[in-house]
Amino acid sequence: VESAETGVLSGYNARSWTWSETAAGFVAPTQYWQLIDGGGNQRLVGPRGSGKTTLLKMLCGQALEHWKTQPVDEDAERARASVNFSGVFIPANKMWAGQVAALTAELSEDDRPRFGLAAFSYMALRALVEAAEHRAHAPVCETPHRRVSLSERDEAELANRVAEAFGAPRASASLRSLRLSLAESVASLGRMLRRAANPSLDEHELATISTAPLLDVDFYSAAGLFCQVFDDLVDEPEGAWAFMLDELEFLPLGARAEIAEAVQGQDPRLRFKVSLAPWTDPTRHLKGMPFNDFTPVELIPRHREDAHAFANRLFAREIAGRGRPETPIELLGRGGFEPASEDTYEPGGENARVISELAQVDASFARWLRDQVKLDPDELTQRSPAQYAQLRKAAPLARLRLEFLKLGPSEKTVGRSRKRAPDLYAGMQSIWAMSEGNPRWLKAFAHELFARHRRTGPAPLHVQIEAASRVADNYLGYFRTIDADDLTPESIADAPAITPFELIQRMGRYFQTQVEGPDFTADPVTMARANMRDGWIETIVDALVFLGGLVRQGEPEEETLRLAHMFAPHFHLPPRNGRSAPLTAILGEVPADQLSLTEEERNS
Amino acid sequence: LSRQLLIAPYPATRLSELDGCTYISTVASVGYEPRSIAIARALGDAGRGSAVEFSHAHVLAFEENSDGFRELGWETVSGTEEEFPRWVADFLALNAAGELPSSAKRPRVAVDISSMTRTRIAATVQALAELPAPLQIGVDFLYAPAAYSDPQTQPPAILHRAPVSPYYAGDLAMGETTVLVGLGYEQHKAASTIEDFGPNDVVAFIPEGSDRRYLDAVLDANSGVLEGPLAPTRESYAVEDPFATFRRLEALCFDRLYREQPQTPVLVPLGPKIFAACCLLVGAMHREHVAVWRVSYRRDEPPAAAQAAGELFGLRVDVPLLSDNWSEP
Repeated sequence: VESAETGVLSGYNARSWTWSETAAGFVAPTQYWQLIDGGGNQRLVGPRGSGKTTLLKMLCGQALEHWKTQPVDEDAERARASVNFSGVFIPANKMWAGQVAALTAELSEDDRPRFGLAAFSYMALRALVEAAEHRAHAPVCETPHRRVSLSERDEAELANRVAEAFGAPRASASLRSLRLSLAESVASLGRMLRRAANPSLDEHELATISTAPLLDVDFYSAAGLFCQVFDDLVDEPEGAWAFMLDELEFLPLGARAEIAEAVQGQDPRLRFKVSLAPWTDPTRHLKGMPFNDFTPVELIPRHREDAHAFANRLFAREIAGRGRPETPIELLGRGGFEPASEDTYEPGGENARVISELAQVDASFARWLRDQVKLDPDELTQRSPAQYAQLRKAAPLARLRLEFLKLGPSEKTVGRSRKRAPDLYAGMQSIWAMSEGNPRWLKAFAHELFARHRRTGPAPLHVQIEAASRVADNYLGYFRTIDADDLTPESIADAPAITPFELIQRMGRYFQTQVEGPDFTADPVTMARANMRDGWIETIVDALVFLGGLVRQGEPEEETLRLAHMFAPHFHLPPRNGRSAPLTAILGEVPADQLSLTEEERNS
Repeated sequence: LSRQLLIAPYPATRLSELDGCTYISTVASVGYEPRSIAIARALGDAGRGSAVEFSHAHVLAFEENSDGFRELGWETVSGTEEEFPRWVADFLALNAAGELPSSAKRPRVAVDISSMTRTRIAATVQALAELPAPLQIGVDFLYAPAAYSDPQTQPPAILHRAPVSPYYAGDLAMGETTVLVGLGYEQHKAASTIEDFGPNDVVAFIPEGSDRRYLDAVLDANSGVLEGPLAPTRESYAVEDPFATFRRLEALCFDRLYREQPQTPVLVPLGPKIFAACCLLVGAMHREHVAVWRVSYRRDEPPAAAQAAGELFGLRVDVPLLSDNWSEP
């Protein structure tokens, strides 16, 4: 990817969408219902683009009311009936975290988190007031969610009773005045911090700033008081409120810990749903981490079928949203690496043809067939069940290999076409596999596809591949200039040996050699065992997992890494799991054949 | 207390027409680009000042420039990025004046930003905005654009994105944002920054100079940004008219801030240094609401031997006495 055409996927970031935009394209995955049904505090875990922000926003009344009921889909109604809490979305993001970090950089280590927490608290309380305002004052709509009637007198009482806890003037007499007062508190905090950052400030003034009453806000008790008074006034003694804390991974660990502590309490009406990066290794990442005791909800599909079903629904919505009449299969075709018919190994069957053709042009494949499977390519029907299993496993690779090979005059492999990825990567099967159920990828793919295919009817295979490759290239371009210090800044060396982009490239090239190499194997290495204990490598692996370039699989002790399947065409890989090798071998730090006894045992 | 900054156009001219007598002193950078010394040479004997070195990247034309400044009779100053803010604040205070007789002109210095880092330009603007109350000064930010050369392919890199300094960190409110990003040669920088920030809206500032090849290279390097799903609003700006650029930036910031659904403006000054100066001035004047972010490589960028093209553009900034607000520069 030497092209400068690094694009932007951000159009598919729910953070920047209005409530109605968020609801318009929403398709509920199974995890959405877990978030509704899970009573306590929950931790939503998934890579960037997996839909965390959308899910959290869709738990809030402002979005639920915009969610239109579809003709054959009652999810919207079901959700409005099931969400029995008032969602409060707190849009922390990277820019906000960066600005807090810059403004507090000159403070002492003790003061720094206090200011960050105070800024967070005022913004969270403001979001709470906005949610309450929506419930009480939003314009009438056809599909209301938890609307209430709040008289002016009751509203004045509410504002007055919570004013002190919110650091607002006692004279506050409306939710609006309360909200404006909270915004002013945040602005005051900013002014104080800018003042504190002035190097010529004397110690006395600095001490005055660091003991300012503005810092004394206690988020949990203030929020609890507000919810209690509000619920009393609207006669909902059992009312529940859920705070959605988005993108907490962007906050420094200290700030996260402070927030985690600030939201610990026993008030049954308050619950918290936080979104975090996919750090699944408890030994390295979550031990002692804030929010570790929250119930996890994983956004990474465990099963391929789940990812494909979700991709199908979401893409159907993308098609319909553009006013097109096709279904996904009409538009993309079935395609993929696996033929649909059952008799594909019978004479004239598709796989039988592939195996026969490949055996003629690929000596190593012919050798494998003869020595390992012990079958003649022209007599595939004479196979045993064990031989059939071997063939089934090898067939997708054989198809891929055949696509890249060309027959030379002396029946030797003489060249490979690298201009365009094979048609195998088109079709619904392959597109869903490459998407891995990632909403951002699917929406970006739809954007690229429909920019190239405007006519009604099936999209040509090469257009599908172009669109999928463009999305992958955008991701790769992003990884070229990754900002990796969000995660563990302490591990960043001045001159890191390898960049995240180079790590992806080296892994990809290694796997490509395994799949396309001179010795055919039905089970090539396409995954890595994260056996390195190098701080920098761990940091960039974390960053790439978070950004969706790498995928972690397996239990912590046997964790493997693979490239996201979206890169399969780029590196000529099948979009599926394979055998693993140690990352040290893949990066060339030890020879690939120098395995420890443990490694040999695992491979066997 | 922040001082009033009065911004005025600086007439576009050529290096050969620069008059050193306008300035009581000048700040320049001893960089590796041959153009580092172009303005100093054009100023002649009358425009002597201080040439500030960098603590690293002593490559390409660095030694030649260093010798050149000494031959011109300039003071060369060594120091780190961390020491520069204090140094430039002292420099400005030293050259500033208090009350002056009505016949006297406000003292004026020149700051050559052609080879300055964005953090140093930021520190200079901040020092101006925080000039001690009894003082007044005028500063011309001068920029000698480079002659065209093809952009280099950037190696894979680690970027660092952060507000330029606490002074430019904007406010602490969470909410909707508009990123106003300058586009430059650097492939991937703008795209990955927008991707990283996920703003509600993007305005892309596209530089247009006298050499058409620049525009083509910038459009090529950023085609993915301009065609993306979040298609930015395009704002072409003339490199030769930074005052118009400054006014447009400020107007767009106001537009975002005072909508029914306000959006916090975040300025990302990629592209020519003169655009960075415009952003930093807007950031300093509206620092409670507008953030200015820096996007830099963790490792030094590959050095390029930029030659001055011969043109000269600038911005005129005046800091009047508090009692003399709104006076014409």
